[in-house]
Amino acid sequence: MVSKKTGLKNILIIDDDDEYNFITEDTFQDTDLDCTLTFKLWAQDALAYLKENEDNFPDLILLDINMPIMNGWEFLEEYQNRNYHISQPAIIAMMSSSVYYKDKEKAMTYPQVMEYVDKPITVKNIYRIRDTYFSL
Amino acid sequence: MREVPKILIVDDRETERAILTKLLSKFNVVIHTADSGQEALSKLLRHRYILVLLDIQMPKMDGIETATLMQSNTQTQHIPIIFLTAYDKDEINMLQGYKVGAIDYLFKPFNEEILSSKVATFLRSYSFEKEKEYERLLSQLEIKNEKLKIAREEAVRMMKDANKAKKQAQKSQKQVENQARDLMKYTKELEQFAYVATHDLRAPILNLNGILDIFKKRGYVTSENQAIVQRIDGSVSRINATLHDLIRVVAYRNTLDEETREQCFEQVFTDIRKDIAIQIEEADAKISCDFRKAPKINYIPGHLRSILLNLLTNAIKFHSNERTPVISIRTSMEKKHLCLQVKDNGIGMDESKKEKVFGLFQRLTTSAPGNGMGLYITKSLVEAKGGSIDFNSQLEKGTEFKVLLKQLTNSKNQ
Repeated sequence: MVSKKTGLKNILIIDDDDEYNFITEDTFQDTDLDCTLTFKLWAQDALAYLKENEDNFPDLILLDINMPIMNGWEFLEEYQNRNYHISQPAIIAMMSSSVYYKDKEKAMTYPQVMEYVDKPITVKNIYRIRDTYFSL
Repeated sequence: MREVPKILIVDDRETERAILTKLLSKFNVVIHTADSGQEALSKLLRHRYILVLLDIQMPKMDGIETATLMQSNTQTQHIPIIFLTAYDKDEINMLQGYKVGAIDYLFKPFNEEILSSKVATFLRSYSFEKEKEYERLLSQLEIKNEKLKIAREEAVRMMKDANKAKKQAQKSQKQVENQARDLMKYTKELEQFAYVATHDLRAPILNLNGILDIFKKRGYVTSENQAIVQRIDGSVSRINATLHDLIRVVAYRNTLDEETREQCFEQVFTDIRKDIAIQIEEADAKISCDFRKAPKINYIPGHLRSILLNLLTNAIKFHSNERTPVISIRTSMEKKHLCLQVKDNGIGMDESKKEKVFGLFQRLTTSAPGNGMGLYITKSLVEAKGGSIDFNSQLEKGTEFKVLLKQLTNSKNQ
């Protein structure tokens, strides 16, 4: 099983929908979590960000599926190519407003994807992820 | 290729044979000779003669005896015989040669002219017969040829027709294949479109909802803008609900691959009843069911549930405010199909609008909530697996839906 980790401090959110990011940020504000949110509108920007922060890797990555240019799946492939899924302890949660059940099935086939969250993310979702994978 | 006719001379005396051979040598015939009845019979078996000149008076086996034996054999019985005799003419009748196949008599000593003319006459008539037979055969052959030609023409024509039909069939087949492929393409495109549309619509609507919540949460709603916020709220919920149902239309396709399993109606009904307990309670509906006649069916669980759920919620939704809703559900066997009936005493429908009832986004009344997709989905589900759905209804009396479902092959048994 998943070993309990240290705290949840750094969160990377990858989603091209800025309005949705606004809601996500607001939802986090409604929790008592004290963490830094980094938003990336493009998957390739997120990959560049991760490259620069390999020593300060995010604890949690919230990843949207449907994005232009590079979608969530392609991001995961590159993530795996860089071996992050072994070298880095980050938890990845896929987020989608997709109603296509196969998206969820597909998401769970990636070893580093631990969660699948239906949009919009709720306070409850956030607490559940925190309680499952992180220590207080 | 008519062969040269053969004549057999039978006489025990060599001089007689020589004379006759010499006399007949001017005819275009082959002459064989035999010095006894026995030799004659043995030659008769090996050759086909058109005429036998047969001496009556011979030792051991005379001519009459030989002729009698010839008569007894089917192969030789029709060969004409000219008897050679030294008897005088009056005695001939006593010999009764005619009875054993004689066509004529020649008297010894031979008169060359008489012999020649008799043989010539015979040969003429023989060749005439042959000619006639030849012509007959020829005409028969022609007729057969003609028939053969007609048959061949017929065969060629039929083959051409068959080829044409085959080509036509191939063309049709190709057309059908093309159509099927196009249809598949359209279906896929439609699904793709529906998927993208619902997804792309859904995301901003979810955002709108969320932002509206934040707006309210942050206390931006004032007495002045409250009415407007409420209207925005209403619109957003409505579009949300429609989208939700639209997604169900798209999503049900994804359940098509689901496995068939034996379903117990009692169980399915109990589950649904639990899920819509609030609706049942609110409408104070009395629901009875009778699954005794057909308690089970092999079907796709999701489909069966969806069908029964839709029919039941419709029956509750369209109840009449004038009376307590009474709904009865029953199953029975109708030939090979399982018949599921859901009857209510609700507001009823105008039967002339039957077509509309199953259409997408069709609502026949404003007295109940909904967006007109339930029956469209139900019909799609039923027909996807070879079933049919119909109803009888009377305004202000109630509606009875009748669904015929096909027993599906159990996935496990395949």
